[in-house]
Amino acid sequence: MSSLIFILRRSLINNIKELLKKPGILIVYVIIGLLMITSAIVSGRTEPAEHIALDPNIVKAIFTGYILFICTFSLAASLGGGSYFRMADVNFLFTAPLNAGSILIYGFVKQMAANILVMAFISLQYPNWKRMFGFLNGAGWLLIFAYILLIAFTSLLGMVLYSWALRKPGRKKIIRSLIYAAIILILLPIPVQTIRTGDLLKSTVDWLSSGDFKYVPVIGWFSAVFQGAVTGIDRNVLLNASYLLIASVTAFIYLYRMDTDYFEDALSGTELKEAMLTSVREGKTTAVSIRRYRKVNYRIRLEGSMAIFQKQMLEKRKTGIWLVSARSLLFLAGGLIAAFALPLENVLILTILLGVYAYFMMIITMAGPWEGELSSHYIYLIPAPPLNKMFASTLPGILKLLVEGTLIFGITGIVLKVHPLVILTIIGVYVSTGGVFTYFDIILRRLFGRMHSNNLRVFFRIFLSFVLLAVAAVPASIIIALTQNYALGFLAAAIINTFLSFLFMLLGVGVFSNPELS
Amino acid sequence: MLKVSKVIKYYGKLLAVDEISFEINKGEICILLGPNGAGKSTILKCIAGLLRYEGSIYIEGHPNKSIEAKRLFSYVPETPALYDALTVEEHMQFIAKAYRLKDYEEYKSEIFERFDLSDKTEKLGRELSKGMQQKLSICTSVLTRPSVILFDEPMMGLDPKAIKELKKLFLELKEAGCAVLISTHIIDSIKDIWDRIFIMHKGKIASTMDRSEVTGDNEVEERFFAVTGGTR
Repeated sequence: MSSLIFILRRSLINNIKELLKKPGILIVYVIIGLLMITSAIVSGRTEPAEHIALDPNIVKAIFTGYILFICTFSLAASLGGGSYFRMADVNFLFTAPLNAGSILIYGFVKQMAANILVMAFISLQYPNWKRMFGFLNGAGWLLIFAYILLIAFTSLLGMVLYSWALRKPGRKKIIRSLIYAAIILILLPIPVQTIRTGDLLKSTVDWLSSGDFKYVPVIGWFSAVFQGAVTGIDRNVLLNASYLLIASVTAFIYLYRMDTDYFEDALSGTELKEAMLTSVREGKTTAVSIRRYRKVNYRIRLEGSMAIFQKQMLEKRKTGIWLVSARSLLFLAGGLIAAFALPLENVLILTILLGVYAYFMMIITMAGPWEGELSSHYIYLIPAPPLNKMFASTLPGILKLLVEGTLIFGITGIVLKVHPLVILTIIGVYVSTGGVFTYFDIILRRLFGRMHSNNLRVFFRIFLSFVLLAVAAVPASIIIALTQNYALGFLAAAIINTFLSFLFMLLGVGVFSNPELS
Repeated sequence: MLKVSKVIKYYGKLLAVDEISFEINKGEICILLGPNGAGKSTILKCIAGLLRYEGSIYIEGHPNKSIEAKRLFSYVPETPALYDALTVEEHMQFIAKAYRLKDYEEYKSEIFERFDLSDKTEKLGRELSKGMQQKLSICTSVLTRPSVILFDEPMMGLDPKAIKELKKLFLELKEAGCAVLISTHIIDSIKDIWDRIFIMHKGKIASTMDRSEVTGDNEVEERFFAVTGGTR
């Protein structure tokens, strides 16, 4: 075990040493650390605002929905043979005279550290959440504990299921079907209740916040612990937390003592992970294992920098659904549900959707195709001005947002019978907001290089993007408040966003002319 | 030293290794020669304990996946993968700790010198070129003074001086009584050093050659093409 601790300890020390050699980046990390501390202090002093805090039942429902989502996807994904390891671990640790259980613990610790780092970044939003959700004082610590436990337990349970599934062919399918069947059963009361009441939102909140969940193992236990953030830490929270701790420790001991030959699975999972990491670094999708390329009839006709644009469009056509992604369809489904479920003014529903999706766009770290272009030498050799190359590399991403925005707001807007001009301008805001994020990411790349910009992107998106969004959102809100003309307000926001995008383009263009900047 | 008996390995429905058996003795250099996709890397990974398989593999009488066996063998993978945040020196320290090595400093300095790593001991894994990574991967594997050592395409990415040094190292390992198994598809790279060659084709050992049986310079190449169906 001491050799494994040696790797973790030295890696940490060397990473800190490397940071000390780059004072600029170190300052940024220090600022992030200070912001986190400030965030913790501010949230400790913030009292939940009565007029902002959501109904506690809605908060409970959000928690249960989140737990269901994490459990389903984490367990289903674990059956695909995910890995805690990198290829260096495979080559050095798997062949060394070390206990397989110790290696597993080492991998688990690394994985948890990565998750906790992401959580630390996201926790910057905590003061907002505290006001919005009406969390009690001290709830932050409970949520941190619950989140770590959720990630740890789902990972451990996933590994137990995976190792059990390996022993007989066909078990994976059975387990996966059982997981989905359980989720359908758990959610079944929602449509049943909706048929009776005709109110989807109320039925969903009523069911997901109901006390009946305490009879569902794991989901119910987690739900009770998370709900402690609004109800206070009582005997019930402690009892459910202890169930989860006992279950986690049991799973851990089972895995440690189990004579499971997991190296082969870890090897294939690690190879996939390495391919995914390379893919993400190059701005491509993470779905490397399932990616299939279709044969298409397509000729690149445009010349100069626009050949880059057409090359990307060709790649998109080969991968199936062109400019429409699963995310687009999910957002559309969310929009339609909101259209039917929210008892609000129609144009307001569309505005809320825009806000929510802009928020998602901010949190989800999107790897743009432009990053893939920067990893290839062609981008620097093509004889065209860097600004043109930058525009051509980012255009497919912007077009994708246009298609996505048209799909979401076009269809939802028609369903809600919103004026076409409002729909058009709201699509404009959606696309231009995406433009702001895209070109802001390029500036991050220019400032911090590939490795650190990837690490810091989540932080900057969460922290600074609010400021960026406010630049357009505040004037738009004022215009709407003064004139009651939504189209005019959205048009103003789209124009401001477009201006910001151009400004960022000019500031970040260096990465397309100088490989050393990227 | 190394005993492989009736090893079968499937990847899904694909039969990658088809009932392979062979033994390698103390102080013997054996070559797994075969075209791409013949199953060379797969059998090496089976021996290294990275894959599940049918059959049995023993290293000095210990099952290959046992801790006892792992103390006795080393493996140099086809693609070197190092820890990004560990220095060259720390990689060696880690190996020394993991294998509980004592008094390894002198030998470490010697192999660093031979593979031009002496002036790069403070470099991080991620700062090394592909060739340097391969050199460090070789250094970590020989540091343990193994009884059995497996090399998967070891010359890939090495400069001519390092290739020369590596060939010398193979012979020194042999002298020290180590059983050496090298996988390659480049016939010229193993000229002059081998004792036995296993020519692999479609997951099987299609032919075995012993140094004492070979008379002409081109015999290995001729046999290789005759067995694998290619032409010179």
